[in-house]
Amino acid sequence: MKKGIFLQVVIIVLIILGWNCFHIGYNYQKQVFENNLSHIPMIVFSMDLNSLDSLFSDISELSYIKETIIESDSTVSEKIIADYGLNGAQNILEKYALPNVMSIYFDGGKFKSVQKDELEKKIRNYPEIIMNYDIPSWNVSQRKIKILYRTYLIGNGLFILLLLFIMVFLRIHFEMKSNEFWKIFRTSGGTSKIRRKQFLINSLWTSLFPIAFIFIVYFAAIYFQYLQIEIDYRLFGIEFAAMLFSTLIARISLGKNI
Amino acid sequence: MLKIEHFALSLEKERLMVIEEISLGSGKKVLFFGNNETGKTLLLKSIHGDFSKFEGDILIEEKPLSFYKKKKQSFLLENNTHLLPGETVWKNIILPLPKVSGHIKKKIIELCFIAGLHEKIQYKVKDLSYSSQKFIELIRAVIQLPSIILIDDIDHFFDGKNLLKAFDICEFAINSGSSIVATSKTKLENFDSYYRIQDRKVERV
Repeated sequence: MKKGIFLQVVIIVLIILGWNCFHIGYNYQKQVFENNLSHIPMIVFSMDLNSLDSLFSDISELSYIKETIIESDSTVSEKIIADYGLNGAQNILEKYALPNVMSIYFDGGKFKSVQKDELEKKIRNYPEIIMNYDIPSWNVSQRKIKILYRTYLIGNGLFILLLLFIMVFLRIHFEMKSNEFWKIFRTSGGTSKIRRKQFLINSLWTSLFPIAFIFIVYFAAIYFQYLQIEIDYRLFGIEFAAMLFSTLIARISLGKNI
Repeated sequence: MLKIEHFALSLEKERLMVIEEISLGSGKKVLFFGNNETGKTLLLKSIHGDFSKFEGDILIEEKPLSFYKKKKQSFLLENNTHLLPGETVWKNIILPLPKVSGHIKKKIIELCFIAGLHEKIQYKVKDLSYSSQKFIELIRAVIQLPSIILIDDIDHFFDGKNLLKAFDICEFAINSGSSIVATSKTKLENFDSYYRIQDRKVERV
């Protein structure tokens, strides 16, 4: 492999590596925000345990609900006594009717605005149920996830532009640099299809090799558990498509030089 | 092998030469000689397909030049050398060859021996004389056995002794049916036929 192609491959591998680190960083940060959401339960109260049971039946199949825990009034009072050491107040607590409680935990990645509205609507069907949810925290988390997603999209766009610019620039630069060689090759009796074939081989080196290399490294890191965060495999396809597109632009730009 | 019919060459509306008809058989050596600016180089470029602003027809093996657009059947050795100066003699000779068989390798070494390049085969081309560089180009052309080898201003880079060596090298291609068409300022020996370019006319001598 010639020095020029080797240099191109190294640069492209570094860009693709950076791009995939960006995917991993995004997935990691998204997971953090979503986990924060998952740890904030929605608490619903009702004096009527049957209502909570009905609500449980209504919502138990929803995909964005991770876990639902119902605690009856007696369990609640026992818990209060145990948590706060109120053994002396047991008689007093027994005189008062405590509500039954249901804690709903969500799948942070799925519990968006639409899902929240849907759930609230279902709860409103039970007027005797009182709902308590930390909406400000939910709003903050949603806003963070949205900003993160926008940044991720912009970042991807910038990576595509960087890859296009670098790949097209490098390909054109090195092909033009080799023009003199190919001119001599042609005048010495070589056929121009050899240059086209060489361009194709170089394109495979600069497109297929970096993506294959990074994919193998990623797969090995996942397999040997060096990396816990997974990337959507389709992203490798997008990266490969971006590289093929760059090659196509370079080829069109070079025109009859090849 | 080569047929030139009703050929007329002009440059800037000035007529340079007219050829009614020339036929060249395979395995022949032909010399066109004449003064500067008589159109010798343009004639060779026309045959090679690098210059197309001429009237008439040029046929190689009874086919027009357009037939050979992708794979030229001729080699043109111009005054400028077309070599990779930083590469070795060997690399420059085998540059256009898709593969180098044992037979070809042996033949190249044999031709290099004739040219006196056998001990310089691993030398870089930039370290060699102009005449040696021309020998490299000639060997590279000959080894590919084209229909025609065109040599412009042959007396410019081969003196009497080297010209004989060049003919010895060409012999390999000539034996396989290739023809040599060369130009020079004066009439040189050892060619099969001669054409003088004078007063815009090309006459067989």
